[in-house]
Amino acid sequence: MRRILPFLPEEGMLKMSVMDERIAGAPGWKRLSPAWLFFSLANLVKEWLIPIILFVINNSDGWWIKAIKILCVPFILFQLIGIFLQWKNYKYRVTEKEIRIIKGSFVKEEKIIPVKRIQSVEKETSFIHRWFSLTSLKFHLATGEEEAFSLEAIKEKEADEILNRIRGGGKGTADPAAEAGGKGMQGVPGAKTVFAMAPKDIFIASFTSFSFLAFGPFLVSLYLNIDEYFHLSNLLGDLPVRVWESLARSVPLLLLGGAALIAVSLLFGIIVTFLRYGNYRVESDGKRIVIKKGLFNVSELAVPVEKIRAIKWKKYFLRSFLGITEVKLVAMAGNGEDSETKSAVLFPFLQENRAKELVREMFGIRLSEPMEKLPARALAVKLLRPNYLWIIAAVVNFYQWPEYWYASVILLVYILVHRILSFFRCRYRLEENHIQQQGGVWTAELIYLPEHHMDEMVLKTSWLQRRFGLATVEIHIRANPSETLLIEDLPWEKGAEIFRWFMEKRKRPAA
Amino acid sequence: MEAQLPEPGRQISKDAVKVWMISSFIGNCVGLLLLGGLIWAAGRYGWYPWIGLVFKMIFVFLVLYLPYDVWIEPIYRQKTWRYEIHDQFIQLKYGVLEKNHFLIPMTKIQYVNLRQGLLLRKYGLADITVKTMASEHEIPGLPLEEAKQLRMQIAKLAAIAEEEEALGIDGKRPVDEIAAAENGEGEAVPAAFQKPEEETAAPERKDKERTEGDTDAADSALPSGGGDAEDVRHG
Repeated sequence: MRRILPFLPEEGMLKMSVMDERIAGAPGWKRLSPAWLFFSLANLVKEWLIPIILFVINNSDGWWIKAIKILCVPFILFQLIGIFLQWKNYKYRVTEKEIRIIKGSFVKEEKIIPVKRIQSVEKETSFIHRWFSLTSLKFHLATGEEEAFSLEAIKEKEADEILNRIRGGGKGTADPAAEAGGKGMQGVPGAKTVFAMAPKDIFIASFTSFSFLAFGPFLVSLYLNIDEYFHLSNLLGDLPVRVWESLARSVPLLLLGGAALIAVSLLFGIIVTFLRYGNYRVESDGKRIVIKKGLFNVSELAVPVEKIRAIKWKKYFLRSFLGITEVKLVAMAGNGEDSETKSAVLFPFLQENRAKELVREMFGIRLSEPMEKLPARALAVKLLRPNYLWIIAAVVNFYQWPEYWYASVILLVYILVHRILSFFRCRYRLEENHIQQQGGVWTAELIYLPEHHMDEMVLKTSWLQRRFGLATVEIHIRANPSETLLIEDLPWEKGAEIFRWFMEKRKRPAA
Repeated sequence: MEAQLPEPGRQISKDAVKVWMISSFIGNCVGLLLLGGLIWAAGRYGWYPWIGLVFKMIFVFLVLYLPYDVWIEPIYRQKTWRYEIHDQFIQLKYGVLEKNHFLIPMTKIQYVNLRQGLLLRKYGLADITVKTMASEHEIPGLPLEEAKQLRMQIAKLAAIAEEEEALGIDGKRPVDEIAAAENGEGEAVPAAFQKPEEETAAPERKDKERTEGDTDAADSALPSGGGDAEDVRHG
């Protein structure tokens, strides 16, 4: 359930027009489920809970508190009516070509979103949703997160039907409802499961992702939360101290306690990882990829194949030793804040060979080997390149705290190690229709980018690079979070070759 | 080594140098005054000494950099600025110490803007900005008439260029396996997915877009209706 603004026009005004009343009366227009009212009410109660506790229970006699109390009543009523009007005036219609939304109580607003422009659809079903067999859909557009819009609290069956309709596939059969009646994989009958995560994988991942380390912070926040309402410190008295003292008296008991703590935090890590990735599966019907995950709160992300700009392999430092890689879809999907769970991760952790094989099966692409390395002189340029921030920091360091002179030396060593590592990591390869590039420092990142998804290309040379005959290639990719392919300090001839390649490709656009 | 790249041919106006010199001079003066104020404040109110030191370092650097920034750089910037408008892309090249080559496909352009500040107006010049999804590019210091013409040209080309979004990551059209199976074909054949109604509808729509684009271009020089054209078709 998301934030609900009672009166203000909601975010993402795509189109405003005077609404034609006849349109809204036409068949196909639907309202959100009445359960939406229930969720909004729950939200309203949540918002008012603390103020009410503060002002009603704390029965102070100040005249201004009374005034606030009296003023609050019409305000809450106003909000209640607002929620009802919002629901009543919110209508949507989904056809194969476009989604239309009409909303607004006082200011009427109509949105028209061509289905072609939808970049990805997120279907999120919280466990409360599931009690009512409801779900919510969120549609991502190319203009970024501000313009993403959602249909909250709609019937699950309805959602599947919408997804099937905008998918536009299987149009051969006349009745979409009959199709949706089949095995509902987002309403797509016959979608193939490409990948299903084994419990073993999740188990291994729970250790390599260090989620068990979150147990400490989790305990602390739990304690603070409970303490806020029940004043645990008063209730417990000196019990913790006594427990600690009796533990500390005997070494075996202390060891046992420590082991128990480690075991519990490991268990916590496993549970958290299972909750997040349980039931993780990837489905494909040739036209779009559907990523499903979650045990209690189930989320599904559907991305049309043609909206996937690039594919990215990420090898995190620790996991790379186990040959485990992460595969990401570079697309407009998710909000990028909580990257691990929200962005379009295809396989969060998978053996590299298996990942490559699956990508080959799903997208018909394969990585070309071997990739080119940077020439040795690139290392010289990387090491010679001045770091102005370090210079300023060093001057300040020597001037202000000369006794800590080694601080700037350590920083310099770190910067140089960073550069040396990035030199050895860098690989690139230009192919007939795509570019592959590997970069990163501690985490190796490999990206496969087809030419038709390149938004623009920059080839640049600094003064220093020109002395060594080197250049930098930068390619922008439209995605959320934004993505740039960067090859730094490659030979000028190679850079020019890539630039000319892009130019030639553009002159003869694909038919 | 520059010879390996096809050079863009068109240059920008020589008057741009004067505009840049004046604006750079004003900008530098304001910057130095602000820094001077900060240095004075750091001494007066006893901020941490290293803060004052950083300000002073930047101040000295800016003073040394000033002659280059105000007199030399604008001259060379104008000399090195080149651009070219092709049917399928825009090519830009500029930069003195750092040389940049840009290639912007027409299909990725969102809108074109013409901008004219006070100084530019005095010299009868204008800047053109080209907005793509990723960033914004400027072709600066163009004579006003030329700028207007250029804006129109880019807007038209960008409106005509159709986005080739319907391609999968392997550069082929996505294959609908289900439809293929329903049509009784074991292996997916691309012909099965080119639905006839789309095939006939597409050219019509394209023509419509083109005329829309043209009228739009005449008004506001937007490729297909507006900044948010990517997602909204004005109905």
